[in-house]
Amino acid sequence: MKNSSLVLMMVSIFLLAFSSGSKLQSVKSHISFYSHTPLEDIKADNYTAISTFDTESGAVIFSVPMQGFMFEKALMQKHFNSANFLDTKAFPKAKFKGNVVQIEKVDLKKDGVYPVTVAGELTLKEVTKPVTTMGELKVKAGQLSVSAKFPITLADYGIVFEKGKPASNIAKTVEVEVHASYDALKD
Amino acid sequence: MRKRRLVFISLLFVLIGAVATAFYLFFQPHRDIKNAEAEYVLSSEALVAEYLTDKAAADLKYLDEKGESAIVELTGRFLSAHANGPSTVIVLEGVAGKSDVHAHLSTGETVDIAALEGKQLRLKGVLISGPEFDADLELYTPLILRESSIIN
Repeated sequence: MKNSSLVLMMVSIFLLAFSSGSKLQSVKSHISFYSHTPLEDIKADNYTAISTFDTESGAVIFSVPMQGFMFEKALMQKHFNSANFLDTKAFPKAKFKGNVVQIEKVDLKKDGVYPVTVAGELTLKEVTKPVTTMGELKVKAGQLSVSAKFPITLADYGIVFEKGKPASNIAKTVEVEVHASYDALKD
Repeated sequence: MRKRRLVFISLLFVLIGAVATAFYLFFQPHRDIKNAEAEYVLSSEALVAEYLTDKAAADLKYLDEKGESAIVELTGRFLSAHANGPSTVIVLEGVAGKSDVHAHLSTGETVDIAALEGKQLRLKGVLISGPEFDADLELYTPLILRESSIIN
């Protein structure tokens, strides 16, 4: 019994070391979205997302607190958070889970800017849809950052406005921009 | 003639009132968090522990459906600080080995980080995200405050 517990503990330690060895964390992020209609341009910024990046597998994950989005107008912010739009009380976080395609072709030990394709899934209000976009990995003095830009069609996530001000002032498709800087790369 | 004038003036007042209301709603200011009174006063450790015990109940208590979530005043040990975007993030100790508090200071709020080392801090901000273990990230996420300011 004692031996089996010891083996289990050693396997757990090995798995933990193996799984987290190449994983970087970011608490320095910026996610913004931009909506354009003839009536109004709306922009919101969020600096509160947490992200991890696995330099071996290319797995990239973002957990985004939805109430972290700040708008210029208080009314827009209220609409965004309300039950008719993102319902951020019921669904406080959005999540992106994806992979940098062919990460093995990127030499993260060398400074540079590397164009990459990121493919994954975005979950908003418990609706998950595939997202594929071009992005950029940047390595500078041992520091890794990622950037990407992609459109989101709100109706895909069940966000539809039939009437009222939001229907005329919010675009059906909004542009999302993502940037994150990760902790130092390991040698 | 006099009656028509009265109706016209009344309609004009109603119209002015409607326009003023619409104007106010459209351009209403954000809450003044720095000068608002905190709805909850507790330690950073107690708040993180409350979330880790029952996140759903804590979200129900602290989050607002229009995003005007609870203003909390927290006391806790200063751990670190880092710049992020237009503001500084102060990290207060939460539950050791699990989650801490990340308080994003309001833009323009300045702080002497060296003077905070090892101190107990009291700060205030809007709670926007509770801590939890995230199986995808494989880590405990922090409790996050925005529009924060240091009290002392």
